[in-house]
Amino acid sequence: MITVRGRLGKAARDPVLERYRGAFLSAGSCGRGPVFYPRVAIYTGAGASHSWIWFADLMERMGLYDVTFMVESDISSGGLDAFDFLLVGGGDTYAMAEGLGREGARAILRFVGGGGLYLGSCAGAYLVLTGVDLEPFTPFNLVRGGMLNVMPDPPEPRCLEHKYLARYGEEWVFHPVYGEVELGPGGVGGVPCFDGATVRAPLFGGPVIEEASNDEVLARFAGLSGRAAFPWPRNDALQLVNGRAAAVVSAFGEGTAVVSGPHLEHPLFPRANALGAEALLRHCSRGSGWARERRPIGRGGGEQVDGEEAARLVQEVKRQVSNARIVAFGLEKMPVTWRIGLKVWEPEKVRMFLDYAWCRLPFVAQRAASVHPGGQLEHLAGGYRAVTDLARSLKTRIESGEDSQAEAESLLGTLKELTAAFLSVYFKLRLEERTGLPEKPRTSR
Amino acid sequence: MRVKVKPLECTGCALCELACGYHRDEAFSMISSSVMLYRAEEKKGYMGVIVKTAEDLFIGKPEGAAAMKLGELQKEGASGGASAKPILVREACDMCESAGLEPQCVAICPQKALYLE
Amino acid sequence: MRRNLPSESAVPGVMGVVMDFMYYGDILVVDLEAGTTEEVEIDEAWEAGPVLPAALELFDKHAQDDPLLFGSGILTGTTAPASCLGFALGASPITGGPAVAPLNLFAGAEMKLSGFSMVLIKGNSPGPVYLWLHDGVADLVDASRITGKDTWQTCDAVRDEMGEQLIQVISIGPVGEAKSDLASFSINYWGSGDNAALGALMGAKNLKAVALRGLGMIDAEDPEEFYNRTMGLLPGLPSEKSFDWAFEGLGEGGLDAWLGPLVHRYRSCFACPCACNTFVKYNEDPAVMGSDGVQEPGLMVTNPAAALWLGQGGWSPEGASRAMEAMARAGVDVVRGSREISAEPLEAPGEIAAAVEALTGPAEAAWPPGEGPAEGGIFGPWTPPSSSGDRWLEVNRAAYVLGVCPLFLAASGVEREDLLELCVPAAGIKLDAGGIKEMFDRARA
Repeated sequence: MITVRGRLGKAARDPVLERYRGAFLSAGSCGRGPVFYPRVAIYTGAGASHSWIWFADLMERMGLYDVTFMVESDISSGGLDAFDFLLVGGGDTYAMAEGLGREGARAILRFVGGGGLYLGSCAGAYLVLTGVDLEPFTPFNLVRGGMLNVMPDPPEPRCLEHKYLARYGEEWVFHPVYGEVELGPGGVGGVPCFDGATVRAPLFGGPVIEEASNDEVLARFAGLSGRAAFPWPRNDALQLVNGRAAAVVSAFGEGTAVVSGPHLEHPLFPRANALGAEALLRHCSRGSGWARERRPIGRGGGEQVDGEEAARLVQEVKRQVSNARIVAFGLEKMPVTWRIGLKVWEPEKVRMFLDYAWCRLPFVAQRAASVHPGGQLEHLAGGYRAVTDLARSLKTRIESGEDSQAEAESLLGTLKELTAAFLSVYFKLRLEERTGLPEKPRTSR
Repeated sequence: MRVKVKPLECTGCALCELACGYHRDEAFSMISSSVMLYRAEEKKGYMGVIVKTAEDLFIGKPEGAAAMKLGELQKEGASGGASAKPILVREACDMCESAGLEPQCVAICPQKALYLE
Repeated sequence: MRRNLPSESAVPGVMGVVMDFMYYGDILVVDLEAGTTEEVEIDEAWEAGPVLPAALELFDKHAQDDPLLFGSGILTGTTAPASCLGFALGASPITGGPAVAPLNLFAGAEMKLSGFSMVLIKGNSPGPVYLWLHDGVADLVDASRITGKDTWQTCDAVRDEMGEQLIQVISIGPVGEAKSDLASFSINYWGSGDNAALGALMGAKNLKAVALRGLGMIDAEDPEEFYNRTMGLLPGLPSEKSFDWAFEGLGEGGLDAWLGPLVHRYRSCFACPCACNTFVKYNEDPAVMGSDGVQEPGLMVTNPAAALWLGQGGWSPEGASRAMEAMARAGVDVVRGSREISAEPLEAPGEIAAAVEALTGPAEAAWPPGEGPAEGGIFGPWTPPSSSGDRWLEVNRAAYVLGVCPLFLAASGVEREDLLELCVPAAGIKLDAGGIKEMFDRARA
């Protein structure tokens, strides 16, 4: 695990996650023979905003390094077949559904039905809730429950107008509370992180779930926090959410779908992280679920190339990530937001993408000097150089009062792709570190 | 009760940002604080302080100070000019309640430019 | 027990640069002739870290390379009061010996955050360059585009090129490029305390500027103890605005009363409870508070010594301010320059510009009588003398090791021992006045 300082480091070291670190490496192998581990796919395609990075971060903290980032075409073309988990974070649900299309929906249903696990938070939860029969969501109906934060004519909000509503057919999805909420246990018993107390988690526009009779409730809303914004008066918000399902587990075929309104993967909420980890572990313990391929951690043959060249490239990545972060920090106090699809993007999210690469660069530098990850470093160096240029150009436009929508879309799109590429290299190096040698090239089943 | 700003009392020392950053990270930095010194227009001697809460920003500009609800007045895709407000999603001020302390930005401000009301 | 609030942009704090307590990384050695940078470890014999005495030793060691060093103090960049101080050290073209100039305002703190514990610049560049230090990355950037520009234009150009207005820019103007003994580097737009013509040294090196920015995080060994102790110092500290608290006034009414009609606001250096910098407006009404007016409304008066020279010479505050602006722009030492022109007060902007222009040729060494370098020869008279030579020397030695403004240390009444004791929770270093003297003695031995 990377050495993370500050508040996230502290959260990451919270002992509540300890029981899950390494648990997946032995669960299912029963201590006999080679150690197996699950393969994780994280959705970064159309509609995905930035919270998918939190999933990547959580997987790392749980010791799961076989992580692949997938866009919609990877999924619809059958890319999920060799994987155990599919994690889908927040974003623009419409864009996700449209991007994935019916092919993508079929692939996801086939994946779960065949024994995979789907974990969706926020938009990733909306996507697969059955709710009403509404295109383009109908083909994704994976979890039988619906959502309660939908009505034809929601009241005017007290605040957060820009995030309060999203069109949902003839109705509106609305968010009565935005920020930290309290969760209590549902019907799933013996969840260690509750341990007689509530668990705090952030709700950033995710669903309040109306569970179906055969869904298991993993967590229910159990109170509100002062650390939230209240578009509805606090008591009204409390009345709507309290006791309702926040996260449910739904069996589907041989597999499992877990959906959560709150972001169980948010890196500042270790006990919420543990709740998500518990759902994954329970799925694995079902026997039919994880590591279906029983792929052992093994040795592989990778190319050893010029360490000096690798070091030079990593330094160039560092140079450009630093340059771009510095510009991004300056963007943060600028009076601008961008609406991309249905999602509002604030300038601070630019730095967030960059920071996740920045904090992992020392490890990449250390490993890449001995194990050059092919042409990926060249791609990253060039990509981050382009990001720096884009960020500077974006800032110039904002400062001069010009429209910046196109530059912002380009920058955020590039950053999303590049962060996934960076994290791919990072996880690859992590996996190699664990196995002692470069990994074998992956083949689909 | 909340943290407010008397912008003309501020001399721009950034101790408020440091104290808030310490409260969050137990180290000294100015990149994650809920209270922010605006000092990007140095040549004009222009400077202000912003305090982020869960629902609004308290913006202390030399021309005046006021709270603005998040979501108000922001202009999508373009700068709203000098009078427009940023939309900050960074962590909100919790009045240092989680540390069991009085608001540290207020306590450390040598000019009493930050105060509680 | 600390807790944190949810944020949609939760990111790691700052990572990626290995930092011992209070310091980042290694010493950066920049070879301007070769155009290369290299990081070397600091000699572990320097238990107090890479502070000024260690720089003096390096200065002597690399004397044949005409070194110019930049660095900071142990407490620089923290909640310790007035912990704004960094330093520049080089051979003064005036005295031929080593001379120190303060990096105050936000430059000292940014020096520390730039990711290098100290920077040693040796040799001369074949073409004009500026050094861009950011988050542990050092770049030599072609400066031919800004050659001949004044310091205001240079600061704007560097900030625009790098895309961030908070970059601290230590630069020279045409006077420094001409290697005049009257040259001084400016800090951003404002006159600095470089009274030793280190600006001319930069000119000789073809080094147009050093630009600093870092999004780092400074760790203390015992952060809670350190923080609590610094908070404990607050009640006894002065929080004066203006110059007069620290200096004898300018006749009746003082320096502040003289500048009064132009005063717009008072400004502190980083982390300083007092505000010794006075922003005056003479191109628009000082009462105008908005930023929509003229682009360059006035000047931040950063050198009370300069103001004193001009005020005592009978200059009007507006004429004096315009003269100080012209000197800061051209990169003339505002203190020595003000002394040179003080006897003939001027009002018309054109005449003032011409008088400053006339200063830009080769000049005799111009230490004001009685205000030459303090004993030991390294600390320049960047402020009016506020104590005896011996005491000023002692104050400066402690100030530069600590990274605390010497003016504040001399005039605030804060107990030096209290600040020295902060070094224990800061970095596990026990220091006293005798130990500091020994460090300087050892460095010069």
